Amino acid sequence: MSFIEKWLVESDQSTPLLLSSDQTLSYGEVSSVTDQLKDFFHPCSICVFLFDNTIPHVIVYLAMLRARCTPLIVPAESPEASIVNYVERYHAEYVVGISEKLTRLNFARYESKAISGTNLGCIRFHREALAVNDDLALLIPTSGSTGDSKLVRLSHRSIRSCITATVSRLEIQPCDTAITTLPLSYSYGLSVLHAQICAGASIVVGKGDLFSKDFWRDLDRFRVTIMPTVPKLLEILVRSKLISKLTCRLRLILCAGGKLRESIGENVLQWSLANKLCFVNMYGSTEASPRMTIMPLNTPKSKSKSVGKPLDCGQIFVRSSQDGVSGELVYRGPNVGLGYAECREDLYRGDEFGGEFATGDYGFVDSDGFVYVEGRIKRLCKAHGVTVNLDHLTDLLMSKGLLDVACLAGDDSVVVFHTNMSLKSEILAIIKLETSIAISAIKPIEVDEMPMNQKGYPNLHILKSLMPYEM
Amino acid sequence: MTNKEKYDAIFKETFNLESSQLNSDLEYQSILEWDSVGHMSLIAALEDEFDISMEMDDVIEFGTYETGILTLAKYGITI
Repeated sequence: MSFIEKWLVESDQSTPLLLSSDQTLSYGEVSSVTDQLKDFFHPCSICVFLFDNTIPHVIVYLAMLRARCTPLIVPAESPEASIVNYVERYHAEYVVGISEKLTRLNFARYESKAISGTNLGCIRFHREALAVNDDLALLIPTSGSTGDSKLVRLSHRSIRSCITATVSRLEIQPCDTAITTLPLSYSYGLSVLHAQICAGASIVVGKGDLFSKDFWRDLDRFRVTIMPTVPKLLEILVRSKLISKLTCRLRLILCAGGKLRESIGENVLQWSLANKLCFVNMYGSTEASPRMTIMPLNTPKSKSKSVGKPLDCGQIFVRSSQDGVSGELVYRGPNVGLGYAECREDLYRGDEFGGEFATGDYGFVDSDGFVYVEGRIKRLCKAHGVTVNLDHLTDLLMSKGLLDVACLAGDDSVVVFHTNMSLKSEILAIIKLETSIAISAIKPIEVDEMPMNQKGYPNLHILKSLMPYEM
Repeated sequence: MTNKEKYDAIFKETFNLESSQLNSDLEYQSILEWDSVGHMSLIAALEDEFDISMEMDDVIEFGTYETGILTLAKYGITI
């Protein structure tokens, strides 16, 4: 049975589930519609799903899950080449998205159908494909920014245990209402939907655009109590002073998805205390379905720099410590997914993580069990919510003829060193066209000469020392 | 510089644009640079340049490059 089945069917059917300015659907209505729609999909198949933040998208997603078809979730605005790549690499049986967008995709031998009652369409391929593992529930790309197509394989068990523990830690009740501020194609954004359904609660589905009247109207009208954020969003709320507009009906402000700047964190914490709501720091990764730690509600201020304590079902420990305190953070728990996938055959594989996930972050755990994250280990960084592989980005720029460039992690940004002023717009143009990294997250810096290391590559160590403090 | 020149300069600098791009099509999210972060930078630059402090509703509903002029008029700035 899908992880979603019980949550959907056993919650109070009269409680509203999905809310938007156009419509409101109760658990009963969603159960009924998805029950009919699920006949569209076969079990143990893969559907490349262009997930956008609308109620029809959520309905079709739930129907797919109920049919035990595995969604391979991609952002709705993914470039066509990327979608085709996923379909071919993983021999997808279906592609679902807005009908208009699907007609622009060029596939051979397929059947296409509109999903009635929605503006979504479904493309179906007639082909024999290798079976997928019975436990496989969901497929989400690990690094969506540079078109890396490695997927994380999540199981029903991993999602169920993660979300149940999340609901418990956050004390989510059926009377709670969350709002989608993040894309549903993002593992964190999706987990908010999962958590609300698990708790038999409600969720307002929309673009989550802070600079739109609709968002503020919905926040008020639907009496939203839970607002998920990422550092970039909090920064905008604080710097634009929009934070003062958040209603006092809010119970929780969640924050995860990157390192929060101390000054912003302080600011939000103060504001939360003054307005009697909980600011909850969290830490997770797609591989952990996705939550690993959550700040317990009403934690004392002294722990504010922590990302909280591990979920009750799991634990975090430090490995390979140089100083006996900090080291790589490793998470253990039933919410760790099965493993990765890079081709169709991989989807048949079973549990490879064995309940343990090495995060690639380094940090420490204090004597009270609170976890602190200090940095990323490898050449990956987060820029405005997108995970960027700095080496891949450098390779991309070089492949376009920009030979003298180097990419480093900035503060929630990517710093691109180059030697030619006139190249700046070309760099931005390439990033704009080939990746999903926000332009405002790119900081180009010109240097007279690119410092090199002995191997003939840019000397990242020297470049790092050249970075202006505020980056 | 006239107010119009200052207004245009802010748009060009914030979003890395040419004068030809300053037209009725230019609005929030019409270009990649004018995302929520870009919007905030724009508002901050306008507030700085014209020495005003915009109300929340005007920050949210600033409008397009063209209608933004009407928003600023509310603060006594004639472009």
